Amino acid sequence: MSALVAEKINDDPLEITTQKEYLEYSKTVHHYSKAIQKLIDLINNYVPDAEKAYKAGQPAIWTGGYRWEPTLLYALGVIPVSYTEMGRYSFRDDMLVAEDIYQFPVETCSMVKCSVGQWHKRLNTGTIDRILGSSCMCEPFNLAWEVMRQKGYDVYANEAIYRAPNVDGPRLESLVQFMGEQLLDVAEWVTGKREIDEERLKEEVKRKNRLLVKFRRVLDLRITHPFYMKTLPIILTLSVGVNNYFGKPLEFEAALDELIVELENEPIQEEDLKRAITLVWAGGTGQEFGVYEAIDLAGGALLGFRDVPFKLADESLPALESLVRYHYANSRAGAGVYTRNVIESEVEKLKAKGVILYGYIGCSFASIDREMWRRYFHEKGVPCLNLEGSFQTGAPSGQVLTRVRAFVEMLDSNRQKLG
Amino acid sequence: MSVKIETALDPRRVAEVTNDVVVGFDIGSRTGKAVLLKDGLIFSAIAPTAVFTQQTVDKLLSILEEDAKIKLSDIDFAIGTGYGRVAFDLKDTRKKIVTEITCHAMGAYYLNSDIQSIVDIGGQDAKAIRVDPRNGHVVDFIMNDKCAAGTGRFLEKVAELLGLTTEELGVEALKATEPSDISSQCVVFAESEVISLSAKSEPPTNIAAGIHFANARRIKNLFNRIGLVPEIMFSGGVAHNVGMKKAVEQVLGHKFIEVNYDAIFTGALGAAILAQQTLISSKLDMAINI
Repeated sequence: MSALVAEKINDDPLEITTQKEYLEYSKTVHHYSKAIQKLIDLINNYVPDAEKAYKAGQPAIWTGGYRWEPTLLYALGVIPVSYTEMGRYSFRDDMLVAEDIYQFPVETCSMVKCSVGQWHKRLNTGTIDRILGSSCMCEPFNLAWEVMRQKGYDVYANEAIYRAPNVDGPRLESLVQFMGEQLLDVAEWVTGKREIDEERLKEEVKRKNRLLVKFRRVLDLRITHPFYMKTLPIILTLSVGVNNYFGKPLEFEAALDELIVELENEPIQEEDLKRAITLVWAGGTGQEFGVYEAIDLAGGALLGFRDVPFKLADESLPALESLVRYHYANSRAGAGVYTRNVIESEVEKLKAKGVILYGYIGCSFASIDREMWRRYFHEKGVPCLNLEGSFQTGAPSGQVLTRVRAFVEMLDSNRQKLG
Repeated sequence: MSVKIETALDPRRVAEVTNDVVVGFDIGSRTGKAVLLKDGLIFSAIAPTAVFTQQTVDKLLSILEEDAKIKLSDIDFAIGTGYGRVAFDLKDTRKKIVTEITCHAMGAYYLNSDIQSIVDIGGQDAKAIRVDPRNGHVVDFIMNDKCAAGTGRFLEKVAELLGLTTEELGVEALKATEPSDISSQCVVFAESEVISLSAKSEPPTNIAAGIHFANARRIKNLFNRIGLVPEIMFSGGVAHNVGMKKAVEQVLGHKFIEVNYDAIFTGALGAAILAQQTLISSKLDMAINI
């Protein structure tokens, strides 16, 4: 249905209701790119393939799938399986499981409730039964982990790792020491030994750096090819793939290499450069993919992202210290000001026309950050759109689409005004 | 129904209107509106929103065709806006979709180019829009659609509770001696409050006024985010509600500017103007490419 609807109305978002439908549709949209199709397949098959691998005897652990976790888990010989990715398979009934069976308040973040519903469905099915909870993750996840521990999952949650603004010098060194100990504790829970193979971790740190460099190359090439890779696959590649490689590091790297070659060989379309309204996305990956479609169809080009990892890991350091310092140096170190700095740098680098601030309904933490960022950029004359979306459902509301379209229309008219 | 362009529009904008025959459709959640520009005249049509957008569009078209003595094939370009903008068919007539926020700003600019702020309260949401007085472009906007409170649907519900029509609700509010204090921001709890006030024999006039002031405070909150700059226009379906108009004026501390055309058609008018501007741009592009 989706593609037909798209052709018929051709300038307004699709009426697709599930995330998987959107990904399938996105494959047809990117029919000209084998690399993007491969990336979408990696996205779609990430969780199911990891669960199959686990059943076939390969170690796998549910994890947030961000920051330091995947690098460490790969070095320990374990597939990191991002539990936030389960939202892609979630519907209203998963939320109801969390609300009805586990008594989660209705207003709890939909991402957390979806995860609980999905874990509940997997009870006693012989699938992955260990959960690594990084306390850097959203706080309500602590409740989800505790509930799942009671249901029989093997859950480990480490202490929060947080670098407050302006923390440097001896205080930072003490944090580095603290986090290093924390990661050794994680290793002990994963393998039974309080040690991490230096060479394997070094290889994983190098892989991380290598993939970040390649991903940055993709982002740079998108500046001159703003519509080649549309919003949905790029945002999933950034927020999921760059962090955990969809459970398949070699395939992910090969797809990135192929994409770089495709982009390098693609002629630059001057018309695209003229019509692209450059935007920076400052939000998570909601499952309401129609928002991304609306941005694309309105002529918006999401070229900048809040999660762009600025800094690479220092490969000259011992591997564990390198991973720890990488964590503290990037935007996910904790305080909202780090992320704001990334957004600002992206706005300046791209000469972006506006910023879309996106968060999930029920996420009180992100709503505070968004409001601070909105005010900051507003005072600097950078238009911002503050959107709240849902994590678990497919189609966005008409009001959300109206906001997105109106925002892009406003930026387009501003651009015309300025000539 | 038709009026001359020079009667309805800002005199500074009249010369910019071309001879292209264009239509703007504004399909809202409660009513559909359409404006046709032809031969120096503005034709308008209004109809309740049907279950399917196409039914509403067909109804509006039939009214316009009869009034303006045109056929669909006579229309050079059409723009659809409002929540029903997505799904409608005009056969071979060229069309485009634009959000109601952009259309309201452009409509307001053509009605009075001094307008810099718009209060737009429709059936299912309320919007505050800032307009560039140099060109009618949107400077900033904010929408309140978290719940039904502060919308036309909310007022309908309250009118029903008080045994009034929505038109009567506004008129009754003007007779209030002491507006009731309605504290709830939620339509469900506000409904309980209205029932509770009625049970205490609070006069319906005071309750009606209290409801309007509660809504007006929400509008003020929207402008706190984007800034309020006079002149201010009240558009959207609720613009006809005299009680709401008074309450918002009082809370904002500014009078609404009067325009010479029914403000409920602001979005449809803006869509029609944008249709003409689209044709001008495409002709320019063609000329450049020749």
